[in-house]
Amino acid sequence: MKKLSLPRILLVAFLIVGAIVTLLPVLVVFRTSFQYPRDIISGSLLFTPTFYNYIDTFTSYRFGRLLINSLVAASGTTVIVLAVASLAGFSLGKFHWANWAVSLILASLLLIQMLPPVVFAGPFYLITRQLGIYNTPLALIMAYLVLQLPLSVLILRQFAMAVPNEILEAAHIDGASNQMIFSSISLPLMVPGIATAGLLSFVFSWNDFMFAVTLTSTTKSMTIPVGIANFSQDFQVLYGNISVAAAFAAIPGFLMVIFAQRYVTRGLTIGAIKG
Amino acid sequence: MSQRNLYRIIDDNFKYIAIAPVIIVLVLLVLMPVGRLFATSFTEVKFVSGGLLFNPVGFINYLTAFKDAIAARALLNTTLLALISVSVEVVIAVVLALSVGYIKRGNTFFRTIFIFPMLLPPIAIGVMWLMIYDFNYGVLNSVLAFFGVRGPAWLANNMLAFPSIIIVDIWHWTSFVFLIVLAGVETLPHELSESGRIDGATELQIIRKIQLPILRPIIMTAIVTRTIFAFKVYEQIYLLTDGGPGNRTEVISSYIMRVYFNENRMGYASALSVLTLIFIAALVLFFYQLQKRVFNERGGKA
Repeated sequence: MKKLSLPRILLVAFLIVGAIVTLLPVLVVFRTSFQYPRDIISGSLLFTPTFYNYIDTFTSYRFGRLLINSLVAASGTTVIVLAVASLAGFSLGKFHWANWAVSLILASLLLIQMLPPVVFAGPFYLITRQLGIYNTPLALIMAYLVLQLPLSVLILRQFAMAVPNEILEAAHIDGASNQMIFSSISLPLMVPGIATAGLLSFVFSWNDFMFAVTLTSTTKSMTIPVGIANFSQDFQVLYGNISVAAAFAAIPGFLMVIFAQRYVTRGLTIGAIKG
Repeated sequence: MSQRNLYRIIDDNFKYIAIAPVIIVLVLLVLMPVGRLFATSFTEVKFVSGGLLFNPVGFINYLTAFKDAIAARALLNTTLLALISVSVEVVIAVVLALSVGYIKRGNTFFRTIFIFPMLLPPIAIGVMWLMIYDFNYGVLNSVLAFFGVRGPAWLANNMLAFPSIIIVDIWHWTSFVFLIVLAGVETLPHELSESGRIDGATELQIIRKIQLPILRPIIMTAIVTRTIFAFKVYEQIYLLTDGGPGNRTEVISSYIMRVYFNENRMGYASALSVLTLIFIAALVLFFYQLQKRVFNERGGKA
């Protein structure tokens, strides 16, 4: 048992301060979402908790529709990303590729990931208008593929590499085709990787604002982040509604850090280091 | 062709068939917009009935960009934001990660909290800080009022707006650096620190002489990634200051978005985007070379 030294106390104090600073802004929004608008304005610490803002946000502003739109765009993206990236990850991780080919592919993926999304916003606006998919979930999914595919391929390549070669060779000797080896042997063993890539794709697509605001225009396909921006108008901010919307927007990230932290850590570390 | 033959062909070429979708998708979805960007950057876009008219204007947009004081300001602000916030984030994150690595109980609790911010929607983070900075109803000014101090308009004040934005960025992104550095802390070899302790080294010496040198490559990676990601900053600025007051918090993304979608100068915004694209690509290349050189030096010494 270590004794309580001064550095140890300082260290724990530092951690607690860090935790409070991190949580405080989140709690402010959470608290505001349960306040009557008059209590928000009064600035007093005491207030009567209420669901008024929740009811108002859903009834007066069609927030349910935005919720569904966000779900559709994020899950649509995730499904396509997983299908495409698990195939690519398997090919890169388990077949022999010339050095230059692997370097070229990995470098391109990294570069795409590094580019500021703003350079795609304008052209995607023009392209989706031309294709007639402006203001549809398809426009959003198209943009999110660019943002989410690179990281997912890097993640799934790592997980494919971890599949033991002996198992694949044994299946090969038994006469299994490559597509069978991929779908019945590799894929089940890559499930943790698929979960990692899928969860990250979902959360980051759900969180996006820039493409949602440029590629949608009405509640028909607008997502929650755009709703949040609309609650903050030029002359007044609808604090009650905006806090409710922000609370809902935070749900996927919250669930992920609580229940799937291992995946977050693993996936993002691969993205930053192993690529 | 029989089905059996097709099956064989897929089997024989599975390596290429499996990688094809990602290449097709990315080539289409990256080259198409980038090509479009280049094409638009040499035009002036006019709104006419029935659509857009692209008038070729040569290099004028690029010449304009180099004389644009707001663009220069946006680039300067973004660079400053990247330098300041990344430096602060790295210091805080390294101390947090080492601390979390030290304690036995409560490890998961603190880790969960410190990773959380980066998984939040940036626009929701903007909302949080709006409620803190708001001049009339904000938490910050309420607390100050409690002590009898009249708080300033944090986001509209010429001196305070930019630092206020930097604080938001630090709050948001320390989580990312923390996550990366923690991955390194968790793989630190215990034997080394332990033998240092037996030799009578203080904890501070162990951190400085043993742990930090081992962590250096991973900290370096975190700095590089974060610095480049810092150039993406947009949502919080959009919600909190929209570039103001007087372009004092204007960043690359907020300026391009405004020129493209609010001022409808699509040709000029495209030229700015192309320049951004080249700038970031050069930055990535520079960091990549730098990192390679540092790693080689370390390898040579070992």
